[in-house]
Amino acid sequence: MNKKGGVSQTLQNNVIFLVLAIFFFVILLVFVNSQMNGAKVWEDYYAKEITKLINTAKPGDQITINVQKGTVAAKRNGLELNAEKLFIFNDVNKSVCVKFSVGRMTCYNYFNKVNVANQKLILGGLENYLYFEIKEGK
Amino acid sequence: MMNKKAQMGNQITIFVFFFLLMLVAAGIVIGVFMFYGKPYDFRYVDAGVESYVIKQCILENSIDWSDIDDFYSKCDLDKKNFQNEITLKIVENGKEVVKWKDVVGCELASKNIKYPKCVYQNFTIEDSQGIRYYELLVGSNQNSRRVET
Repeated sequence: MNKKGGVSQTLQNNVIFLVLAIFFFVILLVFVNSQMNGAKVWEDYYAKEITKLINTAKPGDQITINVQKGTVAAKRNGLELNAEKLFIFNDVNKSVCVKFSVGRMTCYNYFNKVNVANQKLILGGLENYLYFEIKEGK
Repeated sequence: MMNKKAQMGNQITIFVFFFLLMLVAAGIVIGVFMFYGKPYDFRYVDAGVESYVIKQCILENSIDWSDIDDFYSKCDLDKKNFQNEITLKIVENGKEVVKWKDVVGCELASKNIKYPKCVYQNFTIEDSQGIRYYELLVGSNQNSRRVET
């Protein structure tokens, strides 16, 4: 056997193995990191929590909810922190839609015959908050 | 001189290597989806909130059960969404006054995740109209929807 050829062959095999293994784990890391961003999870959570608040509200109520986690996810996905673009209230269908990522948004229906108005994001400080008012519905 | 047969055997092991990599990847992907992918099951909370709202409505208003629109109007409920998503049964003094959707699904909730999650409560009202005993069964099977923007 040509020992020199054997050593270089072994080295070559190990280098290829290492490169493939590193490449593979980098791809997995990117995938796990993208899931940890969790925009879809936070959309689902906030749509339902806001619905819970609306279902128990009366006209004239003013509601403020901490949306720090959701706005962080939205910012990471390159979205503008605008209340009307992130939190969409549909008074006709009586639904709340939340959008923290590009593409689809998550919607949930509420049952209270009220309308939602004057939503705004209160940014800055330690945490971000969503503010909105409950109005008489049709 | 190199042994070409041995080299052939050495190269075949690359398939074993890739197979092991795929196994590891599949395990990590499945684990991540199991942890992060599970939705927030809000149905029991939803049913509880609606049960509370309806109970408060019955306590504060005198409802004409012969006209279902009177119930919606006095309780400020959106009829379309409510009837689509909520299972409801109201019994007043042993007589069923409101019922829609199959309430049997409530008892099967522990058997299958697709059945609605329900909340049961009973209460008594004593006023000028006499004593009335209510049983309230409210169920929700609403799930969030992913909508294209």
